[in-house]
Amino acid sequence: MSIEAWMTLWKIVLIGGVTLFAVLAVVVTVGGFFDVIKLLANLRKDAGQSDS
Amino acid sequence: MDPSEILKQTNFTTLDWVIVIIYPLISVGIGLYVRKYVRNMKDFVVAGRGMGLWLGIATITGTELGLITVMYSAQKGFTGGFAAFHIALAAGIVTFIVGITGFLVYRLRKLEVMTIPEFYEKRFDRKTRILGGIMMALGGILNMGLFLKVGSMFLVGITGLSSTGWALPAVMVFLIVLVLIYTCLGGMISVVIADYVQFVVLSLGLLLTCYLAVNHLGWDNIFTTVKQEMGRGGVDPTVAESGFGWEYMIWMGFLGLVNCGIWPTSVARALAMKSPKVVKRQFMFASISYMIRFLIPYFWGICAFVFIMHNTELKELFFPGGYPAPKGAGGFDNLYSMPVFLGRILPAGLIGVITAGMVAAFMSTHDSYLLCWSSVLTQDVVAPIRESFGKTTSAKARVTLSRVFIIVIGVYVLYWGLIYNGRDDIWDYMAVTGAVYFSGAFALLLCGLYWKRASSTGAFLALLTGLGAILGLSPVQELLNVKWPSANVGLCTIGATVLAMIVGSLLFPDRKNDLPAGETETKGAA
Repeated sequence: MSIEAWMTLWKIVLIGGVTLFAVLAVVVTVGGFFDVIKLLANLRKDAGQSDS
Repeated sequence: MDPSEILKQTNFTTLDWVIVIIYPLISVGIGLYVRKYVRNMKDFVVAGRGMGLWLGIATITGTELGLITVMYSAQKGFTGGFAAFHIALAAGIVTFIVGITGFLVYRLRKLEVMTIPEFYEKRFDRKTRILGGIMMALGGILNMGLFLKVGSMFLVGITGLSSTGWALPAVMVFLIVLVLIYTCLGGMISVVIADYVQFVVLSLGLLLTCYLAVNHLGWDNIFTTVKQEMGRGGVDPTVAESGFGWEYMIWMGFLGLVNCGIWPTSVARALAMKSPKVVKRQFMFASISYMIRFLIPYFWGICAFVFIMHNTELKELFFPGGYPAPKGAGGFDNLYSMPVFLGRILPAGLIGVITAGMVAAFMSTHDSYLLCWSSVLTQDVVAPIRESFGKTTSAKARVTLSRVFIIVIGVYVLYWGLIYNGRDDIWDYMAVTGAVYFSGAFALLLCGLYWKRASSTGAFLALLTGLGAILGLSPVQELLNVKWPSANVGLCTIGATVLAMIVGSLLFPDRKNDLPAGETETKGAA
């Protein structure tokens, strides 16, 4: 492969990777927030059951 | 030229210090708040196995995208240019394949073990679990020996503190104390929540910094400078002048598998997920993070290189004999290149947010690693040894013991960071030290999960063979007066461990041979 071909490949990898990550960051930020609430609610429920 | 005077030229202000100090205190607050939810070892180690998919992706990213990763990756980008991108690409592709196939992680999660050595006992026997736990802790703790120092170097570099005075050790002590407090308090529950917060802050910081770096240097200028200064070696990883080559690339492909499917901190996240099916989805999505955690820091390292090559003062500091640096030319530690670059291009306020994100990344990695190695020592070494003598270890005692190990390992990391004075390439150092554990673990997981005839003697031999990886360390090679590329040593060790596993199993089959294999097949079938 020529130097130019390698540079094109790395440009695609960089732009593609960063774009995918930007989308993932938004989805995980929102979805993760609800998962944290669920996790704490479940743990609270378990703690309540073991207390009673 | 005084390096400290040059390092002081940063945009870091008092406002940024306030942001950086408040952020870790919030993490400590989280640790205190969630402490009340920790009732047993399952809560402490795998967060009650209640993590949803998105939180699972956030926490696996939060753990694996640590400050140490950012630092050693930036160093690789600084020295290797765009050719280093092949490591990121390999990591992303391999993790995606693991996600699709569920290779290793699916069966492990299905067995409902809490740690990898626990699987060793379930599949082989107790002595394999104890030896596996010792090897894992040995490789892992050695591996994290430089974390604190390298992380602190980032803070010193970006804030403009003196690199030679009191600042570095003071920052190290401050950070390790904070990490120890909240890891001891909350276990995995505080870790996953801190990881989530870190994911949010760091994602924004990573993306914004990339934009500002390109905006400052110019997209075309970055590529043109690398091409002019590094030549073909700066973009083509297959040629020797890049410092990589085919063996290195194959080694990196294998490390991609290790990072997601064998490395215990990563596997711990898989074992904490709700179900085996969710694990597969977790890895498919997380493959983006596994690529990005290398890709963006490489890019920052490349940008730092371009920035320095266009700055006479910094060029003289990092490359006193010109570029490419002649042998023995010395120069300032290139680990400082990326933080110095960021300290000069990011505006006040934002630099505080980015640094806080990095501190979060630093803490996130430390908490996970401390938790992982301490629970392995408790669950897989101390408790099984006590059981062998007919003594039980209560759940409360296990949590207490894990907390004691966390503090002991923290003190070791501080000690090692203060005394270590080497100038090795950090990524290669970590790959070799990690191989002490993962080369043996690979053979045990591969054969234990997928081969009925794998025996405990074969497993024991494979674990011991994994010690051969230390031949890749430069001080050991100097002692033996040999010079072998670490990639070749790593690949040979992997081959040797698998061979030891196969030969040992064929020559010394387990007497109860069909029971564990059949059991594993039933329990772990995909």
